[in-house]
Amino acid sequence: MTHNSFHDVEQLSVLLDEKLSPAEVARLQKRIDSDADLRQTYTELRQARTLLRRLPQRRAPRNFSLNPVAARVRPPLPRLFPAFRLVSVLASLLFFFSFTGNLVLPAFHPQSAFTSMADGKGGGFDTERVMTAEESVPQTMAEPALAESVPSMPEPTLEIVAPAPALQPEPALAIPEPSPAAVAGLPTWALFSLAGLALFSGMVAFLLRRQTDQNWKHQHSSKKGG
Amino acid sequence: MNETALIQDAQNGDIEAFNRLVLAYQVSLYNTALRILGDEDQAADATQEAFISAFRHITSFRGGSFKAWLLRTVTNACYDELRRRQRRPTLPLEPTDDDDEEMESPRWLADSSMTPEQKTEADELEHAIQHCLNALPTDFRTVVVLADLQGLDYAEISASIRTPLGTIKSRLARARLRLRECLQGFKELLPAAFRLEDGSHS
Repeated sequence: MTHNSFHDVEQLSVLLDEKLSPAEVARLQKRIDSDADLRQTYTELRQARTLLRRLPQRRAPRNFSLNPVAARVRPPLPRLFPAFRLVSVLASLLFFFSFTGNLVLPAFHPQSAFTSMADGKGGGFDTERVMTAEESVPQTMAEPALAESVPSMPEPTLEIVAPAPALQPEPALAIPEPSPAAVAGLPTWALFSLAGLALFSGMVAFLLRRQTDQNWKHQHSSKKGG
Repeated sequence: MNETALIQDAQNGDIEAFNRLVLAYQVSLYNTALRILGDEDQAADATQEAFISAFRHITSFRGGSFKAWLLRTVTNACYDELRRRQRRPTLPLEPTDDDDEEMESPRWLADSSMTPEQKTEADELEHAIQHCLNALPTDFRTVVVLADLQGLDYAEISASIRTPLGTIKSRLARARLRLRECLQGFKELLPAAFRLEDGSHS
């Protein structure tokens, strides 16, 4: 066993492969001639490489030629296929989000829910029933409570009282309420159109692909037969 | 065989053209896989996978050494196989006899054109070398197989396994060093012509 630095071993390995520059070869060769350890390592590396190179090549156990099925080869896509596929995917996504939006949005906008309920579109609590319940509170129960809660009025005096400022209208709220149409999402006919478009495009893409596959298989089998 | 024309035809989907390339390179790819994996069946599977992958991605071949490009696909297939092997229980790399004992000198490596003595020598040599190759880390084994068995130069190996040139040199030197040490242990098994010199006198 010899004791050389790994850098020396690496240089010897590169020398074996003849990848050193002439100057490096001359320098290393000089060291090999003068250093027995280095010479020993070089010889052993060369012999190990020779052994590897003499390793016989084994015959392939079988023919690795491919057939279209093994190679999972498919014919080229029809030119219109990607367009129909894209339209189908986009229409499906739009349909999904619109449909989901129509279901979910009213729940986040009670105002619109209230409006739609007032329009008789259903959902939420019944305002008419609430109003009726408030109106049906017995008069006898309401009046004594009111009398107790109102303090006795002071006697009128002759003092001149400055006139009260005129009532100003309250400023409108900065945040506009969403219009019922915006919250309601796409109308039903648009949803059906999207679904129809998605189905139609998907069907056309599928048929295009199948037709091309069949043509390609037919061509391939006739080529093999011929 | 006009390799460039065959590659172009294969890039246009001509599987017959690709199969002519398969016939030209299948021995190289199979032997590379065999030396990296050390198992015949797995090597055959890796070779088949490599050719399938090569055909499916042949449009990505942009010139240069087609052999090096193919060897990259088979190396990748071998790495995949080794990863699968790590997840599965290991199988013995040595052939076994009827009693499930490992065969000392497997006849499965024999070439019918050799004399019995030559067969024995070849068996011993191949067995010893494969044993030492199997003992190397995968990265070292791959580099030494590509360099010394397939004859690729540093640049081709670097392109094949996408590793810097300096790393290739370093791995190759380490692999040869370890092989040398390993093969020292097989001195008695090796034919006289292949025996390494005894370094004890230095």
